[in-house]
Amino acid sequence: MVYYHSIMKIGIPRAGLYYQFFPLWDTFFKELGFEVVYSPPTNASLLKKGLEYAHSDICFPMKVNFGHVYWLKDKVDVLFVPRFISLEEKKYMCPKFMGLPDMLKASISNLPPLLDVNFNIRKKPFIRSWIEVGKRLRVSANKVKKALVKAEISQKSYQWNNLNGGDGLKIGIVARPYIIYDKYVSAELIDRLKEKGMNILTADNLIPEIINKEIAILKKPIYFDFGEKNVGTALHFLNSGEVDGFLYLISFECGPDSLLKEIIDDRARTSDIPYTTLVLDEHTEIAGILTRVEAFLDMIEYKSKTKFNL
Amino acid sequence: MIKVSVPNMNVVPIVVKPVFEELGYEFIAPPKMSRKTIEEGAKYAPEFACFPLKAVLGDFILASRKGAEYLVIFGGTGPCRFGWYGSTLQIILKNLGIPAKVFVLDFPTEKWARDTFSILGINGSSVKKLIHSGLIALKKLRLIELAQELARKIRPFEVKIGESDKTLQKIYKIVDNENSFIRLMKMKNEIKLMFEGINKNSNHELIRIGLVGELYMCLQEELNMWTESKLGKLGAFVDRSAIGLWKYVTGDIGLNFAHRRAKRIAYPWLKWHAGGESIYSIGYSLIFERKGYDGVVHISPLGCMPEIVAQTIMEKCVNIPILNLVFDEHTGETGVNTRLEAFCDLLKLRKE
Repeated sequence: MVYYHSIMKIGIPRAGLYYQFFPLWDTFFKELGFEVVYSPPTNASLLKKGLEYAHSDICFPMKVNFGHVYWLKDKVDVLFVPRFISLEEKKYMCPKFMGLPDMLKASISNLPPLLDVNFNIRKKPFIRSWIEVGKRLRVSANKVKKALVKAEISQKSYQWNNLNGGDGLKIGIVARPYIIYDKYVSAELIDRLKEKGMNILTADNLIPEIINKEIAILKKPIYFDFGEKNVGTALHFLNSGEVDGFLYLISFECGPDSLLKEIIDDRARTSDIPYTTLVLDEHTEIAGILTRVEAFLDMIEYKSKTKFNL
Repeated sequence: MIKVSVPNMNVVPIVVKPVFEELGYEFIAPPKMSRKTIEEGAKYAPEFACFPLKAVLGDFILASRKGAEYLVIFGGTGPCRFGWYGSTLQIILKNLGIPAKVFVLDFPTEKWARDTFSILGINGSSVKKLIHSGLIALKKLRLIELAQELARKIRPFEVKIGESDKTLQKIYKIVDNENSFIRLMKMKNEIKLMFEGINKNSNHELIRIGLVGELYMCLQEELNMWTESKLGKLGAFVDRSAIGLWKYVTGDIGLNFAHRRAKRIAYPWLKWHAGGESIYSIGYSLIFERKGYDGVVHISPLGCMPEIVAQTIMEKCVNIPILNLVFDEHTGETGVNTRLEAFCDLLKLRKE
């Protein structure tokens, strides 16, 4: 049970799906009059704690998530770690997200109460999940609905402003939101590329219709959340030639991506758009990543100068 | 005749053979799983794919070399990666230049289901005969599972070590060659008699171990380095009530009450079934603990998403010793032997 004394502090770990939904979550809780406490952006000491508490075989972003929760646990009254089961119709999140609140409870002791509400669009619309969140925080359903309207507007109007008006190369980046927008995990790749005057395109800059059109060629629909988005984006890059080349960032031990990569690899064999995969984990050296990215960019430039084709 | 093959999964090739033959296909049993299968699969499979995919790919490559044109595998749309195996395997085989088609028994869309049934029924076999062959398949499965159950019970007591394993292989062969439903019905007693004929010495102390984990890894003995029979030979009674093909089939449609109970018991620790056998691994471990078992052996392939969730939670909630065995293509048999022996010694010491 959760009781609030003055203003309740809600802790949101800056990891996982925070990077996809932060405009919504932030507006929602602030609209209801709560104080929202975020963990700091991922850094080495947070990650160290995560490695200490998470299972050694689990994927890198989850280890990061554990570190954020550990940082927050003594500083807040309640932690917002929902159980994401399905974000889109006929899709599933990865099993690790389904078990995340339970894993946290089992691994880290002295946790504050978790708001482990199920978000499962297969069973009930999200608004009912949000009402349940409100119920646990002792907020009426009407207030929740009003706050949610505002929150959804702010989510929709958020500009995923990655395009950098320069006249440099156009580079696509395909990755899950918690890899690409986490600066520590992705080695600040977006910022570094922008500094070089490059235009960056991610899945969030594309309209859903484009992605759906590319996905339609697959015989069996992909049932992983973000899987369809990533594969659709990558196929769009390969088919349309909208970018000069693209990077696919996956984390080590990422289950869905390891298999979905085969679809992209298969298409890339017959396409002349350069593409490379970077596998990230806690042992990744930034220098190693940058060397590979630089070599990739040099190759693209060389290719555009000389019209060199393999 | 079109040649069909399935991946090795314990006795699956034996069980499904009559159904495919009834449908008018020539059934090609995949070669027995060996080092070669795993190497072949690991060479071409995606690097971080889970171990079963590599093993299945190896099976498919070897089966297609034997002439199989259709490679049949189950599908699914669950959170586990298994449902996406078919599509991945098809892409890999295509790029290897193997003409065989991967055929996924799965119904994600209506069109897909219609296609499946139209391909299956190309030879126009009657429904009555199909049901008959289906019954034979189920009977074979039940007989083999009975034999395995008996072998598990006898293994710790056998005088000549390895005798029950030999009997088991003999039974596989007999069941595989028998295609009359009536004679299969009568075989139950025969199997029981075969196991009764094994010499037993009953005067040594027994440790009891529960086996939980991922279905495919637990069933495929060559991949889990014969963990189950090795534990038996070390003098432990292995309870594999958590996993089994029949259980899997009935548990999936909610008819298995033991599975339901396990789910209920695991609920306080894992509030949502995270795919695979995650919730059953936790639930049955708790059941084994309540029954007073001495230990739990948890088997999973490297990188299995649901079992990682289960492992993390089991470390906290189960209060008897757990041995986590994670297998991949680099696992050596000696290492597994050492750990199993050490685990059994530990359990025996704890008992005293």
